Amino acid sequence: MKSNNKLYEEQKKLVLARFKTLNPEGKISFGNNEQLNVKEIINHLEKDDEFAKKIVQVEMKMLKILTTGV
Amino acid sequence: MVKKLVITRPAHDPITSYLNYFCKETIKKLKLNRDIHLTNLEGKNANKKEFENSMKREDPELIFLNGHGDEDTVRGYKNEIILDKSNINITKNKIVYALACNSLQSLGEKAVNENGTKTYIGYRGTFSLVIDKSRSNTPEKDKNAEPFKKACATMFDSLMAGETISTSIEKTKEEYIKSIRTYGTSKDDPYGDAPLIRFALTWNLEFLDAIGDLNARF
Repeated sequence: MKSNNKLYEEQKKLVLARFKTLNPEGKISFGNNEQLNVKEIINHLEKDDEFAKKIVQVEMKMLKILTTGV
Repeated sequence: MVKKLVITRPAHDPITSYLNYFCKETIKKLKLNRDIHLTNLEGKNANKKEFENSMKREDPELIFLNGHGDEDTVRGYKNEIILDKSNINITKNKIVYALACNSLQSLGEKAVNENGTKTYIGYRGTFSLVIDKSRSNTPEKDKNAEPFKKACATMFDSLMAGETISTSIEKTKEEYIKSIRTYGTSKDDPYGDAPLIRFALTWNLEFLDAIGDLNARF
């Protein structure tokens, strides 16, 4: 459990660092006309709420696709 | 035997206008296809009354719902609820494809496990998009929308070709992965949105799923 938490914390740091390189005004629509800009996504990551966990999960999947061919 | 399809396509706000646009080309092709009878409930016709009447009249094998959604509902024109637990019985023995947020999570489970819906294809999370706001009124001119359109069209085309649900999902996921790998590596990223587009595509890839009979086909 402890090592899972540690892994998640490392992943979150990586994801946060990557989002901080993006245009803060860039926006993603998350359905139902709800748009979040990069700044708001970073806020979720810093608060480490439930939505942040999904962001980390998806960004890590994307990195895997981009780096391993899986 | 002619196969029947009922599709709902509201277009009353930017997101529903994009979803409406994503299936336009396939619908054009379907109009020339004598083996498939299409009931296209577009714009204000994508309402509960028209939907339920079409379901009774046509008794379609496949229902394709485009619109907003949440865990318990799929919505039509001006966000009227067109499918929820109160009328989920009309999807019994049918394949449902909901291009809408979240509805697989609870409504889809209920449909298949309690109501006898053959298969429910949908998203376990929100459906994400990156829109070029200068083009939000003209989705067909929005280059950002292309990879999302390709993935959605892959699912629709595959289902129309009579491929199994599992093959249709697999092909759609492959299309998402292909776009994630290639988007932004050429002149298709005029505004530097590529990292967000790749993220949103991965989001959709992660949450697209189906339950029920995955060997079923339209």
